[in-house]
Amino acid sequence: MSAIPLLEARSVSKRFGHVQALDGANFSVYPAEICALIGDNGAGKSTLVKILSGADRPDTGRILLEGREVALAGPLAAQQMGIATVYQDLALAPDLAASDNLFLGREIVRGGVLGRLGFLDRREMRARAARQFARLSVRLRSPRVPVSSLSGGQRQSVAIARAAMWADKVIFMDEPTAALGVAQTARVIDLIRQVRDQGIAVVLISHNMTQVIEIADRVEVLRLGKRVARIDKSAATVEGLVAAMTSAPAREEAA
Amino acid sequence: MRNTRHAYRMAATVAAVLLTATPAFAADQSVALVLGVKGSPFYQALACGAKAKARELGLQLTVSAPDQFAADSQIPVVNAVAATRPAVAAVVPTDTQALIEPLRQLHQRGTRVITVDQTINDTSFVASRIQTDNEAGGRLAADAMNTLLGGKGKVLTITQPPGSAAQDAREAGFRAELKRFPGIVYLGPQYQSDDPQKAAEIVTSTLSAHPDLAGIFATNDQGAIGTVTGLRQAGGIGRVKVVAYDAATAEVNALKNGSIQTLIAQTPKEEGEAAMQAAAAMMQGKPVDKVILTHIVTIKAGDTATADRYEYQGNCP
Amino acid sequence: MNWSKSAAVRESCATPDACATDPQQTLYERLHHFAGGGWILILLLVLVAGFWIARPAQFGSTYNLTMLAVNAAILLVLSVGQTYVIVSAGIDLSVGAVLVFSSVASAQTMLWLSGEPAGTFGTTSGGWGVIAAGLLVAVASGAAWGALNGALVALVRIPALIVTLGSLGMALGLAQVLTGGVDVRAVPDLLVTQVGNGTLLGIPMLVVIAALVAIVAAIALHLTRFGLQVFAVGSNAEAARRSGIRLRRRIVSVYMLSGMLAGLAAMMSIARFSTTTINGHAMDNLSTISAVVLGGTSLFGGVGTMMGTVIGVFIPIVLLNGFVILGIPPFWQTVAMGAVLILAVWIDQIKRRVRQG
Repeated sequence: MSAIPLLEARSVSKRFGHVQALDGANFSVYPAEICALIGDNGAGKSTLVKILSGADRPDTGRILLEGREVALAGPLAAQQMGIATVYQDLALAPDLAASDNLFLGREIVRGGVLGRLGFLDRREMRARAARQFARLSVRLRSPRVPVSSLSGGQRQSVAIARAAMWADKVIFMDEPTAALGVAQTARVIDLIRQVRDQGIAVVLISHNMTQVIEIADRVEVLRLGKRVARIDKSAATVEGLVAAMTSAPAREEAA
Repeated sequence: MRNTRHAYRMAATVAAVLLTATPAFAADQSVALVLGVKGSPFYQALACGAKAKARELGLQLTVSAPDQFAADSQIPVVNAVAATRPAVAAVVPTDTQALIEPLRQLHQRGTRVITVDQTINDTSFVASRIQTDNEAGGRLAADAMNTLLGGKGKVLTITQPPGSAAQDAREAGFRAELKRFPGIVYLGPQYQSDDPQKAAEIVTSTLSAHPDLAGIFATNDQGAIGTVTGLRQAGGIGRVKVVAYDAATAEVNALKNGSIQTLIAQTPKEEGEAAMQAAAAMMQGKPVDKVILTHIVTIKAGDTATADRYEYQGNCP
Repeated sequence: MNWSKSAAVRESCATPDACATDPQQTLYERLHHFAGGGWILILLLVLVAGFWIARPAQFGSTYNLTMLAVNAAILLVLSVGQTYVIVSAGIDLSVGAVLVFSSVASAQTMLWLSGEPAGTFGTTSGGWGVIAAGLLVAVASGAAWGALNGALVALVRIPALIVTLGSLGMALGLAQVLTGGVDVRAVPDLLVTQVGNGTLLGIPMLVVIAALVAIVAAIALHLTRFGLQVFAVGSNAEAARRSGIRLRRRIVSVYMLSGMLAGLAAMMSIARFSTTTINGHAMDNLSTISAVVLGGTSLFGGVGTMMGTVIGVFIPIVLLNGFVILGIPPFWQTVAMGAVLILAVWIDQIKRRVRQG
């Protein structure tokens, strides 16, 4: 693990009306690791993720990407810098096929005159999508059916594969297996590992402590808008994590 | 697969029904009647008169009608009739200009064309025109209004938007005759397109603007029904005198209960009969008048016998 | 995200890719998808065959088949625009009214340019330049109404049903204000004879125009990036937005397209009827919607084909024509048309559920 975090939040604060969602929160994630971000409801996880992925802006504090301070103008700007989020609703177009979804907003057009008129190069899109799925060992029932007719796990895989295609640094995943059954959960977990093995950092938001212990390399705990613990895989236990979430010491623990 | 077989069976039934629905009769015996719109008491009565006369004369008559009184709705119907090449086609044209070409096509394909009730701008190929003297009807209405109002008061007309020859003529006749009565102030025409709801709204808003409104002339049955509704809502029944064209059942009832004071009745049954008689004559090679007029009648309140006699009878087999 | 809705409406898929259950799409499946992916084509063929067998000389005559196509032409152009709007999960109730307004604006412009006084009957001597100006005015006014619709839907976020209902009233009302309720009856003779009644290689000009519009629109919808993004917006607008698709721009352009096609249809209407028809086109909006739905496009958006719309346009027209030729009493026609609409959509739903297994 390198010393410089890939993506870091320093003393980030955010207030919504009367609610102080984040109060000088810190966060760091390193390349090629799975980092779990946990905390009780209202701890500020979603807000932190939104700020780090460009969907919102902090009131105070800094965001550093590879050590350099950045200002994320929006989710698309963040994506161009290599940061993407897979939300719980997956943001897939249910009637479109998997390859169409992968290229949503970035459709490949043919060359020449036809390209300027906007004619799609479906063959190329399908080929590149197939390569991406193969790279991540994602096997779909059929690449041509609308994604709505795929299983929940396969839909999740398509959403993750899409994020991994366009973001090469950090992918945030919000409760990726919350709605899935046992077998599908296992497959998605494999996929998340594959993404990490490709060199992409994964930040996992999860309420499932067992799962966190199973796959996370590190865990960062948020409570009442502040980071209160950074726990390595070797030191993580379910009781310890729950305790960190619910009864925080006054200061942040050292990593 | 069960569903495929099910669907095939359904398709076969549909085809069988279509095949046995109506017999194909020899084209040179058939007469087609195309009404102005479905569901109008006037045109229903016209169709009834035509059907009865056709049966009497031994003619094969088919009746069609469009969904709306408008050219784009009627022309596909006229086209379909033209495809059947009837010997004679009697059509109520819904637009004086747009129906010229489709009716000309009918004529070019060998059908003799009769226009009924309404007319078109180019009648060079029309074998006969059956109409009422709408302008005269408008004048009769003005006379009746003058009598009802005792020579003075504000008067409004509720009519179809310009472009319907018959309604234009009625309003024109009404307006011209009103000039003879200096005590009557003419507020002009307001338009509703065969929409009683719209007519009612016009009446209530006019009454708000002119609380002393004395009389309303409605140039057709739909306008009359709406007028009565509007007056009822505004509490003006009896106070505002109504002269209405046509004698649909609803209007006759309104006459009997005092909501309408005078009816100018056409004779749609007679128009239908005249159309069939002209058609039969044409098919026998006999000469036919270029213009055939059917008459109109003024029916005053209290004259129940006449009202019953001229009421538009739309129910017939 | 409503996954169940898209699972139920899965057939008539967005793209040829999204259709087959096998990776290798068979010829049957390709044809099946091309034909609107439903029983609608079969229903149309059954109706045509049925009427033809019952009345070969009348229904099957060249005259009748030609008139069927001509009667379908204007509605088809309108329905093409409606297809785009409905695929994007919108709806456009203003199409008939925008047509009326555009026809009035165009006819008055052409009349003014050809120097004849208003209130003239018959045709004017306006040349192709005048007609071109009229076309420009018609399409531009359609585009303006479409832009208004799109802006209110996309920027102010008013539901499309309400927006287009409002613009329906405004357009129709303005048309009546512009004309005092009197149709403009003096239109260029060239327009009526060459376009309204003219032919190109034996095919009526109006049919040629409608066919060209349908073909170009189909290509744009199914083969271009613009079309794919329209499907994406209809399937999941939020996902489209997050992917960087310019959501508001897409929505506005879709409604503008519908408006412009209504403007083109207005010119076709003037050419066909040789007059504006202010009191007509009252049910065009519902006719286009039922044509699009009959053709297999989902009212929820994200799914549909242009070919389906073409078939959907013809079904009510063939029905009306066949019924009149067979002499079925008019009220039964109304009943039968409603029944066929329900039957067609019902069979389509059965088929989809079977496919779903």
